[in-house]
Amino acid sequence: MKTPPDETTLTLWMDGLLEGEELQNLEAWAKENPELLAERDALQTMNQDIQVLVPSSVEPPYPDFFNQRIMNALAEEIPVEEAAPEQSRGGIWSMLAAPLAAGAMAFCFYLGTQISSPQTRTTYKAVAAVESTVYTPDTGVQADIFVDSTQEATIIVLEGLQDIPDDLEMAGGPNTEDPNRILVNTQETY
Amino acid sequence: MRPGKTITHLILTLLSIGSLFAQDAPKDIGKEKIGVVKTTVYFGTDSSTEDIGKNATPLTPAELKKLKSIHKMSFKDYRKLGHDIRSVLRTYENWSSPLKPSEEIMLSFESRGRSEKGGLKLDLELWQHKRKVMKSDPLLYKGRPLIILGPKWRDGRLIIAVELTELTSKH
Repeated sequence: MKTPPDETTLTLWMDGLLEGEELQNLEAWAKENPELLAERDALQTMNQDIQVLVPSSVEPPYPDFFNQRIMNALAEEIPVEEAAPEQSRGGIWSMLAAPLAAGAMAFCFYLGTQISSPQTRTTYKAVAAVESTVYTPDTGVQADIFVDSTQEATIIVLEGLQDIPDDLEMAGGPNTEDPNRILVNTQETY
Repeated sequence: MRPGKTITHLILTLLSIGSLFAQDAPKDIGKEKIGVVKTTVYFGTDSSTEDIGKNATPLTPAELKKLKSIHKMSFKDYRKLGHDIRSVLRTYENWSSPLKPSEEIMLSFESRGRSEKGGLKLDLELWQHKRKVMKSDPLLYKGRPLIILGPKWRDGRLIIAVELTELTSKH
């Protein structure tokens, strides 16, 4: 091999990935370039050192009782002096501790249910408010949509509409269904 | 047989066959009524309601209480100007003109299907003087109307209420 190899072939050789006839040709060429042989040896030695020092993958520690370990670690941080008086209390308090704790939990649960009821109503109000949208083609018209305080109506307030002329008479009578009304089928309208 | 008579017989025969096919044609389920919407126009004002028209009527106590409870629609006095009751059809758009014969205020609505909670979703448009001024997609329930504070008229505002009064059962 008289012509120098291309950069890709040289890199593969450096990494020890070249095989077959290409490897033989390049080894023959490298004998005439001892600085390349030295460079390849140094690189392969470095790769071997890295593989020894750094494993290919590291298994993370399995989080057995992760929360419990945190609680234990926190408990270890509590000074012994603070725990000592609790231990010194005996008699009736130690007997009532468990029932009192259970009662406190029940009371807190009751308070939670009382607090959650208004939140549920608030959520319903918010959902109801966003169930509908409103759009006004005229940019001069402002529209606001909301649910009224009694939750019994959806309100749309339109501001900026053109006033209806005062001389227009509009107090007409009630109507009933007109069978001759023209209907527009919108099933296939896109 | 004369040619004219033959043609007449042929036309009559074709018409008979056509009428038979017409009777067997499938019914347009798009015209099926799936609900009923009542549209009412109120007039709310802090001035007099004496000269707003002979057909204007006082509100029922329930209507009065409802409107007065809404902050932006709380007026000194109210009158009902008119109402219209229209069917909501399965795939057809329908129109409501509560101030008939006036077409100053009109609404068009089209079903978008029932909701899981027993409501009816509509595409609703408000038209003023034959011009679309608002479009919305309200979810209507029985007893829970959509109330729109509309344009000014004389010394007050028009209030348009759209209420679902009937919803057919699911098929």
